[in-house]
Amino acid sequence: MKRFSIAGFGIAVVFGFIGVSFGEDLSPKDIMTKNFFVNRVKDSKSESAMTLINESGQKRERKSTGVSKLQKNGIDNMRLIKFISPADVKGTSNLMIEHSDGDDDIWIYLPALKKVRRLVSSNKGDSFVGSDFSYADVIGYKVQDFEHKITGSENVDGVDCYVIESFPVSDKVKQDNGLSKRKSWIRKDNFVIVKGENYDLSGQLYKVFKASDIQLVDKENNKWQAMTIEMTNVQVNHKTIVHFSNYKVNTGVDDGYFSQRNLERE
Amino acid sequence: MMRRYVENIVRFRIAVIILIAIVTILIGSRIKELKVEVDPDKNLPQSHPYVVAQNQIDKIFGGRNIVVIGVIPKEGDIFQPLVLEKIMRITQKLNEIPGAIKTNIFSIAARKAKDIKGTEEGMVVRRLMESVPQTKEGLDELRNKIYRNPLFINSIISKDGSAAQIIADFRFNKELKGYPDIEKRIKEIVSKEEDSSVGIHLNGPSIALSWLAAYSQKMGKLFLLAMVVIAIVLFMVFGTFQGMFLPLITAIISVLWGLGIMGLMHVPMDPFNAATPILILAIAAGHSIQILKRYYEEYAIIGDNKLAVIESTSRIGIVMITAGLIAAASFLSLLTFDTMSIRNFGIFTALGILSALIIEMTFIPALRAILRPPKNKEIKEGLIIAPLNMTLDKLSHLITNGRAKAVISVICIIAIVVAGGGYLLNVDNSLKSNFKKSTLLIKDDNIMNSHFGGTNSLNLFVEGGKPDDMKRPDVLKSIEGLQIFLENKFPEVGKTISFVDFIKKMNQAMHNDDPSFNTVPDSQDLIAQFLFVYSMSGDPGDFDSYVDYDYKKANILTFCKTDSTAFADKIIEAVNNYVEQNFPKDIKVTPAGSLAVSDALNHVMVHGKVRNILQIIGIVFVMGSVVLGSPLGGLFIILPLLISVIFNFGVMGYTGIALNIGTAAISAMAVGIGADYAIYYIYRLREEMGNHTDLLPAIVKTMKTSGKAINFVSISIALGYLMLPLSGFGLHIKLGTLVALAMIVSSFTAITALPALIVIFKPKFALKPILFK
Repeated sequence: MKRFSIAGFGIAVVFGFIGVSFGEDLSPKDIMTKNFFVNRVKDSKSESAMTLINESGQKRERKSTGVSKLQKNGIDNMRLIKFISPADVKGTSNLMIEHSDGDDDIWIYLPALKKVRRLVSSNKGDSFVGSDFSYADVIGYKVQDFEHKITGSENVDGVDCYVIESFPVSDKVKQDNGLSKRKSWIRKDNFVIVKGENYDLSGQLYKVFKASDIQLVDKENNKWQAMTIEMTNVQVNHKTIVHFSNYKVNTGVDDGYFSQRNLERE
Repeated sequence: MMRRYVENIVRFRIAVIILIAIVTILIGSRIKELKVEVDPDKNLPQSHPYVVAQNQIDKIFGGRNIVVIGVIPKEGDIFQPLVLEKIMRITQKLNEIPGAIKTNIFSIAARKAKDIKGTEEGMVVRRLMESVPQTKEGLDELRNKIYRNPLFINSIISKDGSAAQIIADFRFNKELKGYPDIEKRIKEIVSKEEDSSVGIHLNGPSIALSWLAAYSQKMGKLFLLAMVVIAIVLFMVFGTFQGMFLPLITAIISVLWGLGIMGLMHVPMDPFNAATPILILAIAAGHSIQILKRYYEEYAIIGDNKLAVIESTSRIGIVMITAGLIAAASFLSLLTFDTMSIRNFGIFTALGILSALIIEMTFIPALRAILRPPKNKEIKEGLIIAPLNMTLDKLSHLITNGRAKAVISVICIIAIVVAGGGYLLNVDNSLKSNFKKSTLLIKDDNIMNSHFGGTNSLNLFVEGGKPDDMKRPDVLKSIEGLQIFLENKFPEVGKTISFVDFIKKMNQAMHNDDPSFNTVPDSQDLIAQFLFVYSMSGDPGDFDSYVDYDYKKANILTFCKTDSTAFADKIIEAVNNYVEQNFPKDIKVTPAGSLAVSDALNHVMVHGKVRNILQIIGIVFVMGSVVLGSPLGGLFIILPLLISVIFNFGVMGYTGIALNIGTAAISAMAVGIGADYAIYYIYRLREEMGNHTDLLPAIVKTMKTSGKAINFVSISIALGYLMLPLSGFGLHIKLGTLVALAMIVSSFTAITALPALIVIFKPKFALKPILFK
């Protein structure tokens, strides 16, 4: 037993060294690039429950099923979300074709109106479907838009992480995202972000991100997805928690699925 | 016994003075422990419906501490990059104030100000102004966006575009402690933006209350001025420095003790009692002057300082203790009130009176025994005595020469005529009406009211029985109807906002901007889905000011051009009637917001103060009856106090001074003063009945002695408090003049009506001689 633990210690030391030297080979930009792609699966199907919690602790819950597919550029997604609850919005669905270079295309179907309507709203820095996540938080920040620095490593929930600070390269990026700085805790083992901090234009802490229950969803392509993500706007004490369940990847969903016609189908 | 006691005080005078000085320092130092409770809400019974609604609204929506900021360009309209940039910067900076309720900040640059526009394909929801447009096209587009949504007109932009408004809302915290803090933080922001191109105007309930705080601080200086004037008048009536200082020393030490003991007992003080020291001052000085006057009389006869002190204090001491205990007991009876401020008023005044008794029976005789006796010429009395003597002589003459009935008739007629004013008395409280028209606050108020919906806020708290009630078409249509009713019925209401405005706008947008769809949809699911879409297209906090998270409660913001509580009464009654007739029965609508809360506070305080007045009169009557062994005696004692209350309310009615928190508190003070006069007068008369066998000479003598002392008190205090109106602040003007009026009326009644009635009825309690050995 004792020998075993000493052996284990030895192994840990060896791997530790490898880990460090491995880490030093990676530039912060490399790390952020790996992070950018780590959850970018070819397609996915999942159920999700989004809970919004306001300052006084009141909650709003929305349950939905979602299907997503990566577009040909490997960056932007197409998503179709159908809401199951609350009951009075059941059947409301939402089709989103992301365009990282411009306004996304969003269509919504309201069963009570029996019409598909196009919805144009928001900027990248703004709220994603009324949550505390911004569009960029969900879609991912473009690596080249920021200058990244490793400021150290920290242990988060028992896992070693790089701590990386990212600064917008231009004023435009800064204004578009409404951020002066991001701080990310990226797991050294799989490059998943487990904690993040966003700072607003005046340099004040604005939002805090947390991820947990991180699962390897695509072994072949080494894709990981956190099953619970949480974003808190610390300035207004508003919080959004999203739980994913039945997360499946590479289901072979067809491009045609992401059509306005499909929105109306119950 | 009394005599031996006073002899001992005089014998151990140095020790007594040192002891009292030490006690004063010890008790006085406890003033620092006195907690000043500045939260007016603490006076609101927490069960008052408006207060319950306000507490809920506060928690869910905010809306209590509104500030409105007007940005008005000197030339042209607001659609100039320079002006828009200012609005943008102010809006951003307001967000950074600790305690700012970010989701309630509303301006054309606010995050939540969104343009909802219908297109053929669907709907566009965008921030009105994300960045300031620099081109003419951009500016025109902004103008279109703003004016196509009626929600913004009169709320964040004036009808003609000549002015923009920024609405902010705050919750207090450690860094933002009160209204002056709010004003200071906002001024720091706007002062950087105000220049030759734009005028910036501040208003709203928070700013008005900050002004009130600033004016209340001036009160300290005014009190000092009043003290100086009182000292001068005392010098003029007594003609000596002793006469000037001793009553003031008694009064000041009494106030110090009262405050110190409150600190010691951890009884909090509140701003409504800021004027209470006046009452203590008047009562303490009243006792002191009676004794001092008596001392001068005795000294003139005896010619020995110490003997004169012993003689005067032992003779009048018992009267003072009787009068003081009656007054203290009546004020302590206010402890039965559930309104904190009235309890404080009772405790503070009672402590002040008891302190005055102790000081008058220890410190003052000891001190006077040390001071040099007055010189002969000083006893001839002060400057303004000659006309006073003449008047008093004439009065005595009238009363004692068969004109007593005429005197009473005249007083009755005057009292009845004045009492008629009581019918004209109206209950109204308008903080802003206290400020002069030339003040910046009122100028800004007028400017902003002429451009926008109004600077005063009333919230209507709509409450359903279960979640999602605020999605019901019948509820939404009722809310819409109420908004239209208020905006059309009351010219004072300049703007109402509710989430129904958004639903209507979305319904229109989803139907290709067809104006005929600017209505509440008939389907609850559709309303739910519109709300859902809006929530998905905006920030999570966009609706936080208007509807709660589970759609059970909503908030109708109503902006009014007046802060009068009489108006609040009127509009609240109209709202209640409307709701009764038009709303579904399971939906409750309760007024809240600054206007409703000040209305509730006003009613509670006025009602409480009127009860307070009646209770004090009642207790003084009972105790007076017991002490004099006659209910008629009790009636005689409360007479000056009744007449001064009648005058107080009557004059307020005729002059249009409304009954409100401030004036009701002043009226309650008026009842504290009169009883002492009557007691001193009656006891002196009984003493003189021992010297004169006949009533009429006894009356004449009493008038010359006790009657004169009563006049000294009232003239000095009244003139002192007539200095307060110099500040120009409405509340100070009323305080100064009404206190002066109460002093004059109660003292005048004590020296006219009282002796006249005694002459007419010759009641036994007043004629029974008191004999001193």
